[in-house]
Amino acid sequence: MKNSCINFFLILILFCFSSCFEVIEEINLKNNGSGNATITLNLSKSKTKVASIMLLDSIKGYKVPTKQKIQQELSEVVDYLKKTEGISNVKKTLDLENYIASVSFFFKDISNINNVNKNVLKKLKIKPVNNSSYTYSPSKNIFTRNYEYTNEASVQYKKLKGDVKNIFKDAFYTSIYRFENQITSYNNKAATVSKSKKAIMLKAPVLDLINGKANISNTIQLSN
Amino acid sequence: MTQIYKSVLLFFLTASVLSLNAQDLAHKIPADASAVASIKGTNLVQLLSINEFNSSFVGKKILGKISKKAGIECKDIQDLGIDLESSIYYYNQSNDSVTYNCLLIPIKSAQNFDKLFSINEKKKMNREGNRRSYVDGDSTEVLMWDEHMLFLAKATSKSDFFDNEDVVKRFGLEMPPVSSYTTAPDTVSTEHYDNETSTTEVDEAKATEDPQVTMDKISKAAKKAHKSKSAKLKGGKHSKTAKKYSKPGKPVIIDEPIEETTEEMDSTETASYANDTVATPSYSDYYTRNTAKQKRIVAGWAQEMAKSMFSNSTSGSVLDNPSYIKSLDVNAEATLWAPNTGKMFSNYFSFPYGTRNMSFLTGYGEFNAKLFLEKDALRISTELTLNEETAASYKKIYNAKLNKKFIKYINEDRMIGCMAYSLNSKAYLEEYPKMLSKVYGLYGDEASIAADLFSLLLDEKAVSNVFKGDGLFILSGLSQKEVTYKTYDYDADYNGKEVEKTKKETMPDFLFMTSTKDTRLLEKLIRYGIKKDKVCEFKEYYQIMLPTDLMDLYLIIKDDIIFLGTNVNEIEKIAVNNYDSKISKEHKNLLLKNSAAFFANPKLLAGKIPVDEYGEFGELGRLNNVFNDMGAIYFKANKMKGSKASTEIVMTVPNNHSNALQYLFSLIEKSRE
Repeated sequence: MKNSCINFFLILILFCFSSCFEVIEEINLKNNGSGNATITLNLSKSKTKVASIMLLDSIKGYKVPTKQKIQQELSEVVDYLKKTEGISNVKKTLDLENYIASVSFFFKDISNINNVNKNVLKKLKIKPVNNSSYTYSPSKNIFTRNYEYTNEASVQYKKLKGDVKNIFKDAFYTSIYRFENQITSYNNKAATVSKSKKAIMLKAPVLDLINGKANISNTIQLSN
Repeated sequence: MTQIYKSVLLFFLTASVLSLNAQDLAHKIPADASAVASIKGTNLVQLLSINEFNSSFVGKKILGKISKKAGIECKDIQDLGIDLESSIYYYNQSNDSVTYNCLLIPIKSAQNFDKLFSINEKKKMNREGNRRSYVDGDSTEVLMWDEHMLFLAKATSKSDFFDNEDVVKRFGLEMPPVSSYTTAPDTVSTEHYDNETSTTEVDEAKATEDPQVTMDKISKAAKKAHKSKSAKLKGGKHSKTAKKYSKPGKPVIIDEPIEETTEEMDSTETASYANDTVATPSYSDYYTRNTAKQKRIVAGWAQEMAKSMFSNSTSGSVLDNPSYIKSLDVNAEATLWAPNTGKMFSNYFSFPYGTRNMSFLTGYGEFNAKLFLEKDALRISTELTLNEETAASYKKIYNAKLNKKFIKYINEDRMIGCMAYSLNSKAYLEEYPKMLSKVYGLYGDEASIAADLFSLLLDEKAVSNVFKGDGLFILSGLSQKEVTYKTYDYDADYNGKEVEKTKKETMPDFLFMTSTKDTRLLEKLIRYGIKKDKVCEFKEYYQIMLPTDLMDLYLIIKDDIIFLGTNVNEIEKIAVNNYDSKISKEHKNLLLKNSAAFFANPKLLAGKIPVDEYGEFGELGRLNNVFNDMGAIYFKANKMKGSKASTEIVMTVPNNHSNALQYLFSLIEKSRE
């Protein structure tokens, strides 16, 4: 009875209101096609709710991982990345007070990231929900971020229970690509170029990515 | 004397039930139904007129859906031909092979109901004399009606039964392909697989035929199987009619496999299908085929069962069951009755793999629930009968009273709702392992040893001194708290910098109290927390430092009560004996005289949820409208009486509504406005 009382109270906090998170993808690309990338998942804005969830074993039928389990999974991803061809200097940061996790690494060639995405998802036993890849042609100075929507994300999203869907309501995805040369043109109108014209940013609601309403593909022409 | 009194009472109850309406269909409900629910049309029509229903949101929604499906415009519920002033019944009948969920609806005008199946080409009815039927070729649902009654049966097969190897052989089903689990496909005999797949093609081809034709074939196939000379019916106290379908409780076990009509297939089609599938036998193929076959068998049973409902069978009905009759209440608008709670649950829910040998509801007997839609309240009462042993355990556990001192710390003016419970923690710790050991069926001995070991390790008395087992949770409201979070600011060149920002979070304000006799352990824990900077000590109370900015949480131990609350002012008032309590006699009795109780006034929540937290203004507006229009809600779990545990939920109807049904409909309208 006491437990039910506490659980009832925690669920009340969690699901009465919306929560939010952000995913940030940063790539610094050199002219020779190598560079470094950082992927950050920031749940800080929802940290009170996440902290509440962490006090439970499971919520609405979903198992809540322990802090140890999160650390272990992240370490496994890092170990796995270290073994991936073309990837080096893999680092992770995990702030369990603010619930921010990030992984950064160097890559020999941008194409190495394509395998990383695929294999890391496989490692985490997550079904890829889109066809995503990166290409860079040093001879033509063209960087391409390919993103092909599949309705797998939407199918998975629809399977979620009503209240859990709210988690995605105010979630945002941000990509920032930085280059050594200036950007001369790009084809995704949702993106904005920095003052120096050496970086480009694109922000999209995660829900729009799930529903296929947002497209984050971009072909970026760099100056010689 | 008591027996005579009971008999007389039973007689009058039966008479009143049967005389309610000449068209009452209760006598059609089989005696072995595992759950029966009824809705009393007469009462509902008196509470909400047909016109009011037709123009309500719910009414329009229902009529709209019917119109869309039938392809006709239906604006009046009376046009459906249903006798709205009689009772509608639902019942469940199950055995180890199939479960039937059935509806019995009285008909006023069969001609009107026929119209629903006159326009839509895909929904054509079949007629046999006065009896009409409609079956969806791809389902196990049967709809049958005549001038007096509409009967809907949905049959669901039980996987445990159809997974059994003997049953698989008996009904000509397939075993799961071994190759999909362990060996490569080439180990599967091609010849064998050809035969199997060709049979499936017949099933799938049949499924695309006209539904009625399909169902006739299904029915014939099922009849053939049931009437087969070598077919043996195991268990035999049922009527002749009932034996034609798989009678719940005593499934029809047929020794001879159902004959498949493979020879009817076009040979080229067979070859083509075999070529397509033989190389890749997979679990999903097998699953699709087997499911289709099971559906055919079960659909056949369902149709036979539906037909039997329209025959003049004299087999017993639920009205022969005194326990059912006793559960009825003339004033209740809806009722639910189950002779065995455990059986009822197992019919509706399949427990996860690995828990099948467990009996979670051992000791729980008859259950009934009643809905009363009164002038000033909506009431739901439930009653559960426990077996002697379980009742004895429950009595020991709930033989406790709420600490009267709790009442001193309630102020209704500053409260949205509260919940109280009182149990004897010592008895709980002693009885719970015993009750749990009964759950483990097959592992009963091991569970019993584990229960004894648990008791040996635990000093129940010592634990009960720390936590007596009662508690009161008060929700006082919602408050906003400023919390920090980290995000990123980007400069003109999109270089990110981690920054700290603030935002407002809405948190519930609450006060929880529980009784204790021995505070030594808790005091030690507090000292330890202070040392580790997890607890902050103030003059009379403590603050618990929670991870992140979850909330402010304060603790105080006073008068053998542990208080835990979010509002420092309330805690300080408790500390200096200056708490201004205020509670009505009615609420005081509700909390003190029951094993568990709850009351809330949702109206007080209206306008307290901030828009920025809730998301959309429109949604919040609707929610506030609903809260504003709601009356108080009460719940109580009564003290055990004999072997019966009972509860009651009451929703009071605000003065601006004429009765509980109109109130319910109004709340639905408000949530849509």
